[in-house]
Amino acid sequence: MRNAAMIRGRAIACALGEDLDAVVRGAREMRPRVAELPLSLAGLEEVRPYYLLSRRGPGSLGAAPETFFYEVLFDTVARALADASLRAADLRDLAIFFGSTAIDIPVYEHAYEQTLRETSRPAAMVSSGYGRIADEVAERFGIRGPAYTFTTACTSSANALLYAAAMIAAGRIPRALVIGYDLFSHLGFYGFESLRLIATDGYRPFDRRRSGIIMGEGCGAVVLEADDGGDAGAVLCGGANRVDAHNVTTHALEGGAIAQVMRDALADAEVDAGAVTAIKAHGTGSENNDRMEGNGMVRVFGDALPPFTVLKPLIGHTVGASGVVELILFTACLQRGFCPPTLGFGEADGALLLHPVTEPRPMSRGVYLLNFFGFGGNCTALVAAVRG
Amino acid sequence: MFIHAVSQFVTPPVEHPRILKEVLKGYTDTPFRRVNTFILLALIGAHRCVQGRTPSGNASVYLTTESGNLGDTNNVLDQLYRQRSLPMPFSFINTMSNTAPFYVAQSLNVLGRNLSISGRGLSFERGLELARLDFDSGSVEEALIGAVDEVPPEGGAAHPAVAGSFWIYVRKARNGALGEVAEVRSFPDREALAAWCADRPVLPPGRGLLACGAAVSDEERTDWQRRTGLSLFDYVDDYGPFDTVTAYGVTKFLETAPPASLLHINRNGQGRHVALILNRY
Repeated sequence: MRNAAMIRGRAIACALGEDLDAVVRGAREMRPRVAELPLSLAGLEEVRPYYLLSRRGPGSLGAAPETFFYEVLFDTVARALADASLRAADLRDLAIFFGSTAIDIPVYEHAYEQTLRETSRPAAMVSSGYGRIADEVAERFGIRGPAYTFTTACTSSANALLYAAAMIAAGRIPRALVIGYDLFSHLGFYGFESLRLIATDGYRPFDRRRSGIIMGEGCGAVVLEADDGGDAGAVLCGGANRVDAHNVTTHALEGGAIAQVMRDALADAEVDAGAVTAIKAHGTGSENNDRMEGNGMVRVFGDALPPFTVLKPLIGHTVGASGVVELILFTACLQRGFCPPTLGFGEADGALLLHPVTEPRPMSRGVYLLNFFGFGGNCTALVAAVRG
Repeated sequence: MFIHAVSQFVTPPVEHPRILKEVLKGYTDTPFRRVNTFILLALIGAHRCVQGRTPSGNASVYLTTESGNLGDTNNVLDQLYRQRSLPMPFSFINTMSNTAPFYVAQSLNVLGRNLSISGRGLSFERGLELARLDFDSGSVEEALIGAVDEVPPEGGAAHPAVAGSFWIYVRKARNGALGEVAEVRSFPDREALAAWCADRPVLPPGRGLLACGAAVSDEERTDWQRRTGLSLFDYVDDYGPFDTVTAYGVTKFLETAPPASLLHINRNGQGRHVALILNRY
């Protein structure tokens, strides 16, 4: 097994909270916090569920979104850097890998709406550029290393992790700050509603009764560096990315590309499929995603499919942030001795007959496969090892 | 990482995507529905680049962009805030900039890595860095690397006047190549790059060219010219600064320069620098 990069520091902000112990406790006790948001902007009288950040107070949506956006981001990064206990020189040399689906849309759309009220000519505005957020982090924390921004929909920060670990393994950079960040945006919320993808009766990935996704906000930050060869902590062993050219919105149902990216990731990590302890599935809960992912897993593992779980019913689908956010949540739970459960699963899909882990299951040291898929046919799989 | 083909596409703002669809028909018979200006720009550049060639099924696509999809983002916000309606589903999907490399991959049947990458002021260089990493590790042996940006809507006098789509087709194999990406190196600041240049002649004087990105000041460019002793290859003045101007300069060198080496220096607003060395055979 190849150990590309170890996690030296990490921090998270999600619907379960911001203190990692509290977040893990919430996952063990299966206590998600799901808000209901109105669709009134589109003139609809219905509501849809959403996993908002725990720090959101009543009415905080829409209030000074730029201030809130950077408060959450800077606070999460500060906690990750503190957790990593970096020296000033190490901090300066950090490379930044940022992944997000919405990038600055939560800020931009608010400005757009304000300008529309004032001038009726909001088209004069433009986004401030995809790379701005990483640059703001660099400016805030005095980081001088290179900054890379990944915008590959729901695989964005998984790809950021993939490349950060690869650069460290290749000796190109000593360490990296990897950030996954997506906040609520009207564009995303109403966009997924326009696709009729939002579940209205509970989040149930891989369940026969599943009816779609529930979005969530998340910010995760990890500091990666070359593996010290120790016997504790979590390491990224490798991964892979490829495209499924079947359709821009859905992957091919038979799961061929899904299977191939898992095989590529295992090969890159120098891990045999039989050595995988468990899988963190992407598991959006949409009809197609769970079918194609299930088919892909069966193609790779056959009858020896390891236990698998889905984290999204605990924190929502944090879209582009899910790579870093789910890596943190998953490895933190494993380091505390359990595989987090797939909340909401009750009845197997007859076409798949797959049963995810539904109760916290004792599990710790091992090798784990983490799947991430997104619009634009993007497929990313990561391999991580937990050493205790 | 050897360069086997290059393409350039520069256009003033187009009033309707169908104008670009007509241009695209010159390079492929594949029909494209529900695609927007940003995606069409990417398709034109990528198809023009590989015209007459068949990339392997494992080839990868690295699309670099400063601002991604601007047009459909504004369309969706207009549908939300002005029309008070749900967005059109494909307008929403197309706000995600990685739909552009997806359509490139789908239409060329290249199923390797597929990325949309940015780095403020240095997006093209960041894409080259990541591609080189993949080539060096052996995970990629063939790729299309492009830079695509629209003209921001309602541009004022200071706005760029053109949109661009510039691509290079690179392979691990040298045979038949027209050039090479020999170096992509990041520096935290100008001083670190100067120290690197001082360590050795970056390129042999008299046999190489120097180009500087749009954000490099006249004073700094003069200083690099003095330090390196290289002749200047200018491209920024052709159209003025625009988001993909670095890729324009690189592809201009590869398409028009005589056999030579190019040291390209660029910086962003925070003073980070990236040096590229390209060889044109």
